[in-house]
Formats: sequence, structure tokens, C-alpha cells
Amino acid sequence: MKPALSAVAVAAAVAVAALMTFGLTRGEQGKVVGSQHDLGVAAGAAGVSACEVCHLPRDASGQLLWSEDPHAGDKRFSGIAPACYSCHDGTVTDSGLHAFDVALAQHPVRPGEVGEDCDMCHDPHLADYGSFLLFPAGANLCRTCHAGGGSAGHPVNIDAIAGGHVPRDDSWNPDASDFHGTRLWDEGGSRPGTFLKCLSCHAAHGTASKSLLSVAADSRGSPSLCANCHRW
Amino acid sequence: MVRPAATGQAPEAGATLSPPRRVDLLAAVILACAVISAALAVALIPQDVPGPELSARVYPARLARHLGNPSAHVQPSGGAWNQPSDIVALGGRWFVLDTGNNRILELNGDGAVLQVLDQQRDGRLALRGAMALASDGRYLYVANSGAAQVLALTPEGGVVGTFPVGGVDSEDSSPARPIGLAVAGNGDFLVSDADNHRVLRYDREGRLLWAAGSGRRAGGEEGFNTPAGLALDQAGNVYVVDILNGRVVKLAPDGTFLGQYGRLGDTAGTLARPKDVAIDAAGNVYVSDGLLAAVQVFGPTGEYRGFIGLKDPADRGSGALFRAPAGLTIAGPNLYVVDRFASVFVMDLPGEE
Repeated sequence: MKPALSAVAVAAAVAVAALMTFGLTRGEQGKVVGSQHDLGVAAGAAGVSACEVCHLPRDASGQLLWSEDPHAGDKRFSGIAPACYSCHDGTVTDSGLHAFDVALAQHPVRPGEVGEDCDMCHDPHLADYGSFLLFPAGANLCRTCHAGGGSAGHPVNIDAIAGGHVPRDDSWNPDASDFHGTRLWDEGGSRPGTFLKCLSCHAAHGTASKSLLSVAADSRGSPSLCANCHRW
Repeated sequence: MVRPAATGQAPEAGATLSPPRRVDLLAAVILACAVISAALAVALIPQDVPGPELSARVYPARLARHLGNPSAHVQPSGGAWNQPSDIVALGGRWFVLDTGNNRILELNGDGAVLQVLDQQRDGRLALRGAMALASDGRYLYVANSGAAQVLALTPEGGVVGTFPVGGVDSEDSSPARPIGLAVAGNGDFLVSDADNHRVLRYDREGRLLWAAGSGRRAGGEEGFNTPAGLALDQAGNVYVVDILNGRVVKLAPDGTFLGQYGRLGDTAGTLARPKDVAIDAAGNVYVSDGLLAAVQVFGPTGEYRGFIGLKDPADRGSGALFRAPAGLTIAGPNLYVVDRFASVFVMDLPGEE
């Protein structure tokens, strides 16, 4: 074996030894450390690591309170959702409370099934795209499942301003929509955004509309949401 | 350099290894050490070590009744609740904080809504994600979490006091977000500021008396990670739920650290996501846990008494009574447990032993 190859072999062996001894790589931990999910306390024996906050430490001398998921079989609240809600309930954070509002239409999920609930779109370890989304927000995220762009086939990823559409904000209902969704304009309506996206009109986390539209059709039957951009 | 084919024979005694072969041997030794250390680690995993078990025994509390419909989130009259978070008694009347609807509901003994306290009742009662409710026997106090304030109001919803919360340190990175609240017998009120990791004590005029916590995430005696529910015992000691440290901290009336109950975990006597705390007349400490779907009980000196949360206390396999237990209040022989998704459970507590 050439010396260079042997050095590589040693380095690989050291890396394997480190992995087997210490577990996670720095890269895996690094996705959480420094993110909004880095909620641990670095305080020696009194501290709780960022990992332990969610991956609860198991006491060898204790008996599990529940031998299985206490919510097993709950059609609305089991699997990963209780863990998410345990912070996103207005206590640890006031962000995301609306995602659990039973009075609002929510994106369909299958509670209790891995990858089919909150984790359908979010990964708590992945802070690369904002809001711990699996993919960049907007069309790229939605199109992983909704490849056709929806039944209406409305174009997305177009520059609305360049197209002569200056959105208005007069029919936006902040009490019935997703505050954190991407919008074509800012909350005050004074500074238009750039590109039209799925979340410009839809809100995955709770709307008054079953179609997850940000604004429901008005009393005349025409969709107020459309009038934000289209004049007639 | 051409390396000779391996013969499978061991080097002769006294023979020296060429440098590359020494490196190969080093790599093999490191790998062997790694395998051995991994084997040792597996052999020494703590959960495989038998030890004294802290039994997940059931605390002898019995479900007496519900306030509201536990499955439909809808009251017999008065509309739907949306993630209620706390409950308090005032002069024999019961008030629930309907957090998701930004209002307070007065209930009768069956859980029917008697009146709605909201901005229509008083324009200053503009609740924004309010998370805690308390009473001094005369007024209601509400931690208006999204507005960094505590409001005092009459049982009819008229605002009689508005107290800004926070401003302890000009270098605080966040405005205060009060999510825990308790009122002392002398009119002082205590607030948990989740985003600045402090517990604050104010006098009845709203003047800050003391602040406990370092202003950043902390543990031990230094401070709190996420302080939440608060309760006072008969001696005036303060009990603070510290959610992400999985514990309840006991403070003296002047804010001095006295001790703690529980630690982070998912076994009997440990806490996963504690939310609120209540103290009975005997000094027992009740802690709601939103993730473990239970209320765990500790004796006055910290000994574990058991948990409440089985549908059938006699059947360990009967499943969880609660979904997301939060606010707690004790009144006489009853423990009131607010569930964020299943109304209010009224539990009969066992008599003093």
C-alpha cells in the first residue's frame, strides 16, 4: 500500500472509531445547533442538550409512564403531532398555534403515520429553508406532491409586478389564514413582494376555506382572493 | 516500489516492518479498538442494567365529571372552545381562558357558558394568545401573552388594571411573553416570562419587586429554560414549571432558590413537557405534562406519589384520559385539569392520609 493510501486508511479508521464512539457527526448536530430548535442549556450537570429536549433521556432506574404512545389510535392526535404541539402550543413558542386550530381547515394528514403528519412538510432537524421545511417554501415544496399545480392550473413563479399586477391587500383576513405563509405582498400591503407562489393564495395551516384558500369567496360568489391581482 | 504478494506467513522474529505496513497495522489496531469500544458501549448501555425501579404507579384520583364536551370541543351552549389553557375560580364562579378565541368564558357547574368576556365587553380586553388566568378573590387576572401585559378585570369583564410586563434588562432580545401567572394573598402578582427566561414578582400597583433568572436559557439554580405555570403554597413559596428543563422549581417568597421536583425524561417521576403546577392543602405538588398526557404527583418533600391520566385507573392498558393537559386548579377535594383539546376534567382527589 502506498503511504498516501495508508494515511487515508488511518484517517478513515479514526473517523469510524469516532463515529462508533461518539455517535452523531458534527454535521448532523449542526443542523439543530444554532437553529430555532436549539433549545438546550449548556450548563454542565444542570444542563439539557439540544438533542435531549426532544429525544428525552431515559432513566435506567425509572419505569416508563406509558409502555406505548398514550395517544395510539387517536385519529386526530397521535404520532409526531403531540411532540410538536408540546412546544407549539403557546408556551415554548407562540408560533404555530393556528396549525392545531380544530375550527379551521388544515392540510390533510394521517396522524400517527411517519411522514404523513407534521413531518410531511417539516423536519425539526432541517433549518436550511426556513420554518424547518423539507424543501424551499413555495412551489417547490407543494409540487413534491401537487405536481400539476392544482386543478385551477394557475401559473406560479411569475413576477407579478413585472406583469402589471400590483396586489391589493383589502381582502386578506389575517384571522383566518396562515400568518407564516409566503405572501405576494407584505402584511401591511404597502410593499409588494416578487413572485407569485402557491402560498400567495393558499395557507396550509388553517383557513376558513376547505380549499385552504387564504380568503374565502365573498357574498356575491366571486372569489375575493382573485381580485387582489385581477381587475374586472 | 513493487509490493511482494502476501505469503500468509508471519514475519520472522526480529524482522522489522516497512513503514507502510506499520501504518496498515496502526489502522487495524484503531479499528479493533473501535469495535471493542462499541461492544463495551453496547454491553454497558444503562437501560440494560437492572436497578431499583421507580414504579409508574397510579395516583388514586377519580374522574368526577367533565366541564364541556370532552370529544367535540363544543359546549352544550355557547359555541366551541379553541385550545383553552387555564381555569380559575372566583367567588364560586368558574372562568376558563379560551386562548384560541381570545376570550374568557364563565361556566356553570355543568360546563355551559354563562357569559363571554372579550373585547365586546370592554375594548381594553384585547387578548392575544393569552395563556394564564388567576384570581385574588375579587378580580380576575389574565396574562395577555401576546401583548406583554397582565390585565386585572371584574368578573363581568371590565378592565380595572393594565400592567406592562418586562423591561427588566435593556439588553433583553425579546419583549416579555408572560405565560404563567399567580396572585399572592397580599395582592402581589407573579409572572413567568417565557422568552426572557425569568420569573417576575410585582406589587399590586405593578412595580417590579424582583426578577429570578439570568435572562437567558439556564438550569440549576442559575435560572430557567422556559418558565411557565406558577403556583403558591400556603407559606407563600413559589412553584415554577420550567418546561424545557423538565422540572418544577421551588422559590422562597423573596425569589431564593429552594429546590426542584422532577427532571427531564419519560419515566415515572420525570417530566417531558410540564405545563402547570398546583399545590393542595397538604403540600402535594401536581404537575400537568402535555407530552406525557398525565398529571404527576409529588409529595411535599419531593417523593413521587404517582400519576393521573388513565381512562380506567384500575387498568394500565386503558389508554390516556387526557390529550394535552395544561392548566391546573385545586378547589376543595377537586383537581381541575384543562385539556387543550378535550375541555376540563374534574378529578376527585383522595383524602389526606
